[in-house]
Order: sequence, then structure tokens, then C-alpha cells
Amino acid sequence: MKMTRREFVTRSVGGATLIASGATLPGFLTRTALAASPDRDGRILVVIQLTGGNDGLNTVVPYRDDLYHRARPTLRVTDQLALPLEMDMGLHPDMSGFKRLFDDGLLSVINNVGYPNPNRSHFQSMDIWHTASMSPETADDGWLGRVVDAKTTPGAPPYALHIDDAALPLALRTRETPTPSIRSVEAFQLADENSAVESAIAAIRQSASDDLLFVQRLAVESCRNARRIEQVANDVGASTATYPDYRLAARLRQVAQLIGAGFGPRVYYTSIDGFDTHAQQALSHGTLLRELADSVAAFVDDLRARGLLDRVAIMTFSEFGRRLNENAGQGTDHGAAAPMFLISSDARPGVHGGAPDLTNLLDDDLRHRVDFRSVYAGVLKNWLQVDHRAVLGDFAPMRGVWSA
Amino acid sequence: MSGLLTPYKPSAAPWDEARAASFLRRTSFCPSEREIRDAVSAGFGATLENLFAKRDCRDHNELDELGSPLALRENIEALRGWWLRRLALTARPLSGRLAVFWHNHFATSHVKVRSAPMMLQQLRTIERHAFGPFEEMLIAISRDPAMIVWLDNDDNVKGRPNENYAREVFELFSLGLGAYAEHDIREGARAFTGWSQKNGRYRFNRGEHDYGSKEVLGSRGDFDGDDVVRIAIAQPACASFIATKLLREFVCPAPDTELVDAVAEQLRSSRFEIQTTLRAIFGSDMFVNAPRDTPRIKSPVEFVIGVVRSLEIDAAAQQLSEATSQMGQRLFEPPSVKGWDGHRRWLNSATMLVRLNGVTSAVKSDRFQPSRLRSEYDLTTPDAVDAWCQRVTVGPDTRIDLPPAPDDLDERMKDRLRFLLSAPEYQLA
Amino acid sequence: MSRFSFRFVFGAIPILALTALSNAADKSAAEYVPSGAVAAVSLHDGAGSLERLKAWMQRSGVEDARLIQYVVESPQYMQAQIFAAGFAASAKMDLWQAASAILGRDVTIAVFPGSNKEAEAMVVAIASDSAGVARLLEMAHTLTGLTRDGAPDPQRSFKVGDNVVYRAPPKALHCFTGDALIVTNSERLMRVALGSETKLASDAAYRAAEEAAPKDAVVVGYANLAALREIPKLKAALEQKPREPLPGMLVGGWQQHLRSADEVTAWLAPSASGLKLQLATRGGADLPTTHAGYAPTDAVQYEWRPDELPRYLSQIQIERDWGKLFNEREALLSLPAVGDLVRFATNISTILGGMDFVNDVLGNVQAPLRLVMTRCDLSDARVTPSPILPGFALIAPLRPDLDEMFERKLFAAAQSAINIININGGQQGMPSFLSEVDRYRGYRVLFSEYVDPPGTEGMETAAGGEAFVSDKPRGSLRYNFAPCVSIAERQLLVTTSPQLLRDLIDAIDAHKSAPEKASRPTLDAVDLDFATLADLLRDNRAELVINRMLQEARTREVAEREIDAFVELLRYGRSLRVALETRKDGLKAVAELDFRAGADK
Repeated sequence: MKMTRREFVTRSVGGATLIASGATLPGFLTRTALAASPDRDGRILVVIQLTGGNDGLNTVVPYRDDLYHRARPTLRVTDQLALPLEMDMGLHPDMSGFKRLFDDGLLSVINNVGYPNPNRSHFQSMDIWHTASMSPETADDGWLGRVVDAKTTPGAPPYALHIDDAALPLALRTRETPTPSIRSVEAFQLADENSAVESAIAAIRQSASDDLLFVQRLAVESCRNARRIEQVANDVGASTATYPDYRLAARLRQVAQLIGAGFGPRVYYTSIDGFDTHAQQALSHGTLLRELADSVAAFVDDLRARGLLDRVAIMTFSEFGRRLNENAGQGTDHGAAAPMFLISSDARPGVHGGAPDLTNLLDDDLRHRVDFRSVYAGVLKNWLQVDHRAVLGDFAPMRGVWSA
Repeated sequence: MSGLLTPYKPSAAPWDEARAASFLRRTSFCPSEREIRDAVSAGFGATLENLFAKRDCRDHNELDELGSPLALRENIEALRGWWLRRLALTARPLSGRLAVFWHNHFATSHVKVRSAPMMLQQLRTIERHAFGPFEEMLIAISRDPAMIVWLDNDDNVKGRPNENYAREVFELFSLGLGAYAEHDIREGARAFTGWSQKNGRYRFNRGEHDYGSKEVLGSRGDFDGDDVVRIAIAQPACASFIATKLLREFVCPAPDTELVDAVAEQLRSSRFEIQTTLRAIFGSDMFVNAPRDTPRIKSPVEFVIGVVRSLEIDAAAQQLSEATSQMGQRLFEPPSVKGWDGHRRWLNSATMLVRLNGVTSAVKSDRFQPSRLRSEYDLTTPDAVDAWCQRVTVGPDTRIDLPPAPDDLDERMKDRLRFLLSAPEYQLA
Repeated sequence: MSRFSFRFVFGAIPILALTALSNAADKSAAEYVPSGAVAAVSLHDGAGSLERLKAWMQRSGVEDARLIQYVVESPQYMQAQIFAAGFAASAKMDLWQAASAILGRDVTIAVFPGSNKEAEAMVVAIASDSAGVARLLEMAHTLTGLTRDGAPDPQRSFKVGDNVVYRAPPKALHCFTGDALIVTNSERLMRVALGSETKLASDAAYRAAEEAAPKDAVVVGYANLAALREIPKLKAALEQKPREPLPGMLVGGWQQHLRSADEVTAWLAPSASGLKLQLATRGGADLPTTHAGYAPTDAVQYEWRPDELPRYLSQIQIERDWGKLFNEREALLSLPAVGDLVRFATNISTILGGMDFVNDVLGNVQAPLRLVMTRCDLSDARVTPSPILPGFALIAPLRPDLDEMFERKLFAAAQSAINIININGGQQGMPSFLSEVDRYRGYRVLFSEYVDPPGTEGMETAAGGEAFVSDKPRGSLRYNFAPCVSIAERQLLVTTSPQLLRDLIDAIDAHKSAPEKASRPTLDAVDLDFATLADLLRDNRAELVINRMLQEARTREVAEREIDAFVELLRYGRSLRVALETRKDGLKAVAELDFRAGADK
């Protein structure tokens, strides 16, 4: 379900297959003024958007709360089935992957995340999350887009990469440099196997202008990147992790490959759709959570095997949660506050933000206790180490989440 | 005329293949062998005049007339493909370049306008006035319904002026940043009040127009939009601004002040006749004898259309549209009102990859017909093939070491082209 | 000789003139082909078939069809013709005779499992004029240097018994035994063919296939599925669970059969007014219980037929027990497909205002599901859509035990769906539907139509208002669709146009009986009427011409000629039917293509 605004973003920015690696160059190209080559060992953020409004109460379940059980006669997760976390809360039984991450000390749950005056429209609420602004119509760019603009210099690799079937989200919209949006890593293959062309491109020119050298450098890089991607893609031995057969898992595998190959982007963004469970929620919600948990768990295993786990943090969010009471169609309707997941060796594991307070509702919905912008601020300041104030304004990072 | 724009004299530096090819490359799209030969035999004067033969940018052929039915289908991709196919087949490529130039200058996006017929209408307006005078162009654009929607001028009413259009008229269309004050924008906005549109037609809403006295850029009067346009154009900054834009498009990305001044002078003295000014630039010694290493990176449209025209490939509209879109230039949908920044920003190692892959698929496709080309241009030896390949790509005057290639002439042609079209030199115009 | 013509010569040899004199030897091609082929196709009496084809082309006038003329006048065809004519002339024939002789008395093409990654193949053609063939080969051999001074080049040939085998074209071998021309890419096969080992003709399976075919079959084929399944790629493809839900629910049953069937036999024969192609599998296990949804037992049969509908274009019929398939989804589909299917079901439930799609809809419809398409009559339409699509109708029989409540629920759900479409569409600037519930012939119906699109007039002027075919405003693709719903005689009807809904109800009402239980194997079928298809394309002529001009044609004239020629060619056909029966013991597929006897313009 799309909206004008969304299309606006996607059409103006998306569609191009852009990515670059800024790795150090062979000596013979030293004449070129090099753009700042990004730190190969820098930290990476992977954002997974849960589109449709994930039912937080059935994801992180307050299984001892009577009010919960009474409000959801058919949809409730019983205390036998819930996978226990802490503080009388547990995960939906289909999320064994996340339970494992929790047991390994990698999973942080931030509960009751939202914003004042909750908006229950998909488009508007998602825009709010994407722009980190309460009036998203006035915002020109997304919160991650602002980071991209701040950190990108011309010719340098893009700071963020959107890898998904869906269109480029507003969150990645920038004012200056377009963010690449691809469906799969195959977009980076070089069609011509003729290596003679490549070496001829790289041959030294006698008198070359700066622009010619700039172009040459890029041409050489493109070819090299393509070769590296191919190698990484074909090199089955590099990763022993097995991914389940889900689409999200396939994309995360490619992200792992790209990170492993030393590519430029610091932010990867993807999504999983289908959470708008107005009817027959029991049918689909579990399947979706299983896809999310199993895919992310496999991704984490892969990163661990590649020795990259300490460089990557994963964050999930959704545009809103869902109502406490189930509706007549055995589903739930749009709500407000909901949990976010953070997976990082640097984040303090456990449940933050407290348990959901089912006695103190606002219009029959959960009140938020944590403003999502403070979660963003924490991610920006403590993990990516960028200036969060320039992106979000005066929002202090939520305390107690990050160890650094 | 300024010393910088002294006319080129063929007697001093002969009008040969190298010069003709380079000239055509920079004033239109990458030329085909036919175009180069015609230019050489016609001589410089005739070639220069031919660029300006008709002020009308439209070819007025059947392909051109498809615009309306396509637009009414409300399919902007189809319209994009149509425009590109016109560019690929046009007999007046300079007009094509100019239309894209002005499209970028007035950067209006279908994403907000949401009407393919209105976008087409704006394109027609641009094509009508592309060769000047600039005043007529700006006046026509101010009434263009797509522009009105794009910059919210239908919200610009008496008592509650919306400054968006006035700001962009000064900042982006005529003067550039810093040549005006906020006060001028406020007053200028009042002049455009009531200029609205309904269903794709310009409508002057009398009741909403602010007839009062305004002070804009040092002049005072009961100005309306047309007056503000004229005042803006009369500013010294305007000529420099437009001169810089033209030079960035056709000469180099960072023209030096003297050159800008010379062209600005030309613009002023010709009352902003784009045609006259371009003739002066293109006819100048500086331009014709420009060093091969002209540092201007081709835009995706220039690149793709250049390839299909010079290799005489009959490309399908949809493929042209996809190729340019993937390279980062979606016609009718510029990223913002600032348009495409261009030059180095066209390239990073992914768009580079799209260009490289695009070139490979063009040469491999069955729409590229080496045998036909060889028989038409009598390319019967390896050297002839090599020379042709070089002429229609990077130009005969570029020194570039060619790798070994097969003896079979068709295969040789394909190999050479793949190499030359992938070379960094080819990315520069 | 240049490389091109060299290749052409040898490529053309099997295609070259074998003159039409009769010959004594009666061996069939299969008596040369070694046994053990995994697949084989035989063309019997090719000459006779060509005669019949030629006669039909003359009778029907199709050879005057413009498209045929284009092909014949095209430079490529002319070039080929010149080459072939050169050789044909030496045997004193025109191309028809040449082609007719190619196919000779009997041709068999067979494929064998290759030992190392490359399949082995063999073509055997029994000449009807051995002398002619011998002459031609001699000429070709001399020109290409395979024979020098009358003797075979020892470096590019060898002998097997009395026969000389030449190594040409590249990677292949050929040999003419005086009776049969044998071409193959495997030396082993060649030796066996020329030797006395068992031949394909004695293969039980091949013989059975030949026997199963009708006497006048022109082409007979067979494939050994068990052997083909040994090929890793094919095996993997058959074993893999479908990644998309809809294809999975369509072809899953056939895939299952192919996993266990022994072989498939096929034949092509002329029918009274056209051609008939049949394929059938033999052997194999019955469908397991998980796959019961692919062969429902409660399919019904209708009395009314879709070709009773005015401007009928096509029908697609699928017999599945969707409910059972949905319940078994984990066994039948891959993980992503299961996820997609479940998401789809919940989305539809949401759109239908909470009506449970799985239980209330899937659970209450019986097989078959039919999709009927008719050409719309747009003379009364306010806006002509561009392109013009046919009207679509989905027809599903409902269980006999459903109550009145279901009908109400359904109409409420339909209105809910239309509301959601309107809200959604509104945000994209699309005009909305106005829907109303009414009665037609006593049945309750829900019609919808577009609220007048605003400002089309202005847009025409904006666009320049040029080059119009009709004087009516033209709108985009979406004006083809106006959802309508009804239940008539226990059949659920969902259409994209009110006109089609009325026509359907007329047809159903004329028979006025509910569908009856069918007693036949599960049937999936596609039917197509060529005349209506041609009419539909003609409706869209302007569109098609524009597309052609954007694709390739330099001028409108050329584009129009090409489109008109294509549409005209369609009129030489009458109808096409492809039917697939899923039986307990296997699959049977039948395709029937009917032609018109003469050209009806």
C-alpha cells in the first residue's frame, strides 16, 4: 500500500544501482587526490524494518499479566509456550532464534518505544520513524539520510546501502548523494569476462587530467569490486553458516558477504513485510517472527564465523504496535508503543524500558515510555560514533543500553 | 567581441576529422561516421550553421507526435523512453541536448506533479523556447502548469504569499545564490500571486492576485510576474549565471571568470538569445581547438544516446529508459529542484559498472550490426576497422594503446568497441 | 569458401534436397538409431505431411497472408533461398520439393545420456532418393575438401565396415549408408548405428509409444523419464519445492507425477480441421495424501458454456481443492512460498473486512475455478481505457449446503473490499468506484463503476490533443476494471465489468440449473478463440502501433503494416485448446489447434 509521499521518495532517489568500495589503491594511481577512504574496520549498522505494524505484545509477551490473557482469548501466548527472557517477559514461541541470541548475551529488547501523540496511519507513522520528525511533511530527508550526507564525499563509496525488493525508504533519503538500492548482489556483476579490457583500463596514461584519473580509478575499482563479489559469492568455503530458505535470510547472507568482502557502506537497510495482521493473526504472525528470528540468527552465526560479529549491530523497528484487545476477526488493529530489538556485542543484553503497563492505556493502546529518537541517538552516538545532534536535534541517547 | 571568443579560422588549424569529431561530440552527441564525414566535407561554417538550422527543437515527424497519446496513458516511463528514442533518432542533436539542459535547469519532477500530460506540456514549452530569448522562456515557464504545481504557486495567493516559486526563480533559474535578498523574494512572491492552474491549463486568478506596489531588486512598481522576470534578467548576475550554466554544459565544469564574463557579455548584447550566444561559443577558436582532455564527464543521457547514435544501433525506447535510469538520470524525475549536479557526481563504482555492463550488452546485442557498418563505410581491412572504431568513440586524436584483437573483422570491431567504450577516456566528453 | 557458407552447407545437408524418387530399402530410421535413447522423436512420412500442409496453405489462402509475404520478401529469407536454391537447382527442384525430400520417408532424432556432461544426439533421415542424396553429398564433400580426387580425406574420415564416416561439421560426424543419412556428435553412437547391436526400433518402450499413436500420426515421440531423472539438473528441478505459491499450487501435482512416472509418450496428428498433440505419462505412483488437493473428488460440471457469452475470448479452468492445498502448504511449498501464501490469505481477509478467507472462502468453493475472458463492448463507456483489456470473470461453484447468511457476508465483504480500494486509490490520486447493490434477473448483484475522472479534458489539451483515433476521452489502464460480484445458481461470480456480469447471469439463467457432479479425471484446460483475439488486438491497434514505433519501426507505416499483418495471420486460426487430465495413473495432456478452412477476413 503506497502513498504519494512514499512514491516521491522512491522515485526521486531510488532505482540506481550504486555502490563503491573505497579501499586503498594500487600505488600507480597515487597521483590522484584520494577521497577519504573509509576505515575498513569501521562499525556497521544493519536496520531491519518490520513493515505493517508488528504486534509487540505477542512478540515480547508479558505472559504473567492477567490483563493480557483476558484481552486476547484466542491470540494469547500462554506462559508454557513463551520463551522466557527476564522480568516475566518472554518471546513468542516461534522466535527460538532470538532466544538463542538472548542466551548468548547478544539480544537487547527495548520495550515501550514510541512517540507522543501516536499516529495510527501506516504511512504517517512510518514517515515519522523515518524522518525522526513529528511533522514529516516538512522534512526533506530521512534520519539515516542525514548521516549519509554528513559522511559522504564525492567519489567515495556510499555510506548506506538499501538491499530489498521494496522501494527505497524515506529514512535513507538524502539531500545530496543518492543512496543505492539493489535487489541483490548480482547487480554488481561484471558482464564482460574479458580481463584484457580491465588491464587495458588500468594501464597508465602518460598525461592524464585529474578527471581522467578519477574516472580511471573508478573503473578499476568497479571491476575489482565485481571480481571480489564474484569470488565471495562463489567461495562457499568462506562461510560455514547455513541460512534458512527465507527471503530475509538470503538478503542477510548477501549483506554478510558484502561486509566480509570489505565493502564501503556502514549502514545496511532491509525489511520484512506482512505484519499488518488485522485478521487471522495466528496464521501469519508466527511465520513472520520465525522468518525474522531464524534469518537473523543465521546472519549472526555467519558474522561470528567470519570474525565480524563485534563490528556489526542489528536493529529492528516497526511503525507502531498493535492494540491490546484482539478484534472480531481474530486479529489486532493498529496500536502505538512496541518493542525494538538490538543485537550487538556492545549493547547490554536484556529487557530495557520495563514491562508494558496494561493498566495505564492511552485510547486503549500502550503508552510509550521510550522515545524512539533516543534509541536512534544511542545507535548514532554510541555505536556509529557520529554526531547525533545534527541528525536528531536535542535527544539524549537512552541510558543503559550501550556499554560504551 | 571579447578576445576569448575570437572566431575559429580553418586556415589556421584545419577542419579535419579529429576536429570535426571532437566538435560534434561536444555540441551534440557522439557522432556517427556519417555525421563526421558530412561535417568534414561540408566544412566548418556549414556544420556550425547546421546546428542552428531551425529554432524549433521538434522534429515534427511521426515519432514526435506520439508524445500526446503516450502522455495520456499516464505512463511516465513510456514517455521517458519516447523522449530518449527521439534523441536517438533526431536530425538535430543540439536541440536534443538543449532540451535536456533546460529540463535540468527547471528541474520539475513528475513525482510531485503526477501528470504525464503536464510534464509533456512543459517539455514542449521548453522545446519552443530552448534557443532563446531567455526572457520568453522564463515567462513561459512561470505560466507552465507543471511548474506551478511543482513549486506550489497555486498556493500563492494575496495575503498569504507562498515564496517557493519566487525563491527558485531567483536562486535557481536566473540569478544564483546571493544575488538577491529575502526581501526581494517576499515581494517577488506577491507578483506571482494568482498565477495558478486548473486541470493542466494556466489560469490567472484575478481575485487572488496582489496588485499592490512592490519593491524588487531595487525597482518599485505594481509588478506582476512578467515584470519580475524582466527585472531579474536585467541584473548583471543573471547573465553570469546563465553563462556559467551554458559553459558547464558544453565546455567544462569549472569555467574561469574571464570566460564566464565573455559569454555573459555575449548574452547581454544579444538580449539573451541563447542561439546567438552558443553560436559565438561554438564558433570560437577556444572551443574548436579545445584540448582533447576536456574534463567534462558525460551524463547518462549523453553516454547512452552517444553510444546508440555513433554505433548506429536501433535501440528500443524501453532499453534506453532503463539504461539511463540505472545510471542515475531519470528524465522527468530529477532528484530535486536543483536538478542533477552532474560531472563527477554521475560516477561511482556502481554507476560505472552499469556503464561498463551497458556497453558490453550494446555491442553484443543483435541490434548492433557490424557487417552492415563495414559495408556501408567500406571498412575492409583491420586498420580501417580500428580507425573507424576510434573515430566514433574517443576520437582520432586521442592517444590510446589498443590491446591485440582478432583478425575476423566483425569480431575485431566488437572487441575494439568494447575496449574503447569502456575506456576512461570515453567517459569524458 | 568462407566459414559461413561452409557451416551453412553442412547445416543444410539434412535440410537439402533428397529428391523424390522412391527407393527400395524399407528400413525405418529407428532401425539405425541405437537403443537406449532417453528421448526420441520420429517424423513419419514427412513428404506426405508437407504435401498436406502445402495444400492447406493454398486452400486457405494463408500463403497470401501479409506476414508470410514479409517473411518471403525479407532479405534473410532471400539470402537463404539463394543458397538453398543453388543446391536445389542442381537436383532440379524447387524449395517445396527440396523440403519435402528433406523429411523424406522417415526421420528420427534421438538423445542419449552423455558420459561426460555433454548429451549425445543422433539424427537419422531415410532418403527417398538415395541417388540424389549421394550426388549432393559428393558435391559438398568436394567443395569442402572432404574428398580429394574422389577419395575421402583420410585425416577427416574413417571407415566402419563399408561405410565412410566424415568428421564434419565441427564436433559432429555424418555418414550416408546409401539409404540413411546419419548425423551425430558421438563416435560411439555412430559405430553402434552402423553395427549390428540392438536398435531403438526393438526398444519395448519405443514400440509401445509407436503403437499408442494413431495411424495417421505425423510425429511420434517418447521420453524415458526414469533415465532423464538421472540427470542432476533435471532431478534437482523436479525435487525442488516451488518458490512461489500460485505456481506451486498449479503445477505441484504434475511435478509429483513426473517424479515417479516411467515414461511419457507423445504424438502429433492432423485432425478434421487442424492439428492435435497428445502427451501421456505411463507408470508411476498415485498422488500421496498430501497432494490430494491436486485431484479433487468433488469437481462439478456446468451446463452453460463460456462460448455462449457474446464476444467470448478465452477460458482457463483449474480444478483444485484449494482448502486442502492450503492446509498442506508446508508439505507442498518452499518456506518463502508458504510465507507468501499465508501473507496473501491474511491480506485478503483484511480486505474482505475480516471475513476468514481460508475457512469462509476457500473452504466453501468447489472445483473447478474458471477464469473467463470476453472482449468488452465499449460503445457506451465514458472513458476508453488504454490499452483495452478483455473483461475478466472468476467463477467458482459454491457448496450446496451454504446458507443465505453466506451471501450476505459475501456482499458485505465485497463492499468492504471496494472501500479499501477506494481509500488506497485516493491516496494515489486515482478516481474512486461507486458501488451499488441491485438485482438482475432476480439475483442479487453488486455493480461498481468509476466516478467521472476529473479534468481529462484539460489534460488532452495539455498533451497537445494530437493524433487521436477516437473522439472519446482516453484514460489509463485502470479504466478496464470495475469490480462486480454476484451469486447465481450456486456459482460465485466476480467480474471486472458489469456488462460481463450481466452476460454471465444471462447464460447461467438460460440453463437455470446448478452445477452437477462431474465424473471424469481432474481437468485443467485453457481455451482460446482466435477471431476474438484478433478483434481485441485490432481494438488496441493504436497502442500496438505506438509500441512498435518505440521498439523498432522507424515510421508509422511500417509499424502499421507489421501489426496488421500479425493480426491478419491470427484470423487463419480458429481455436486452441490445451487440456491436462490428472488421472490416478498419470497425466494426459492434449492440445488441439483448429484452423479455418478458408480465410474469413
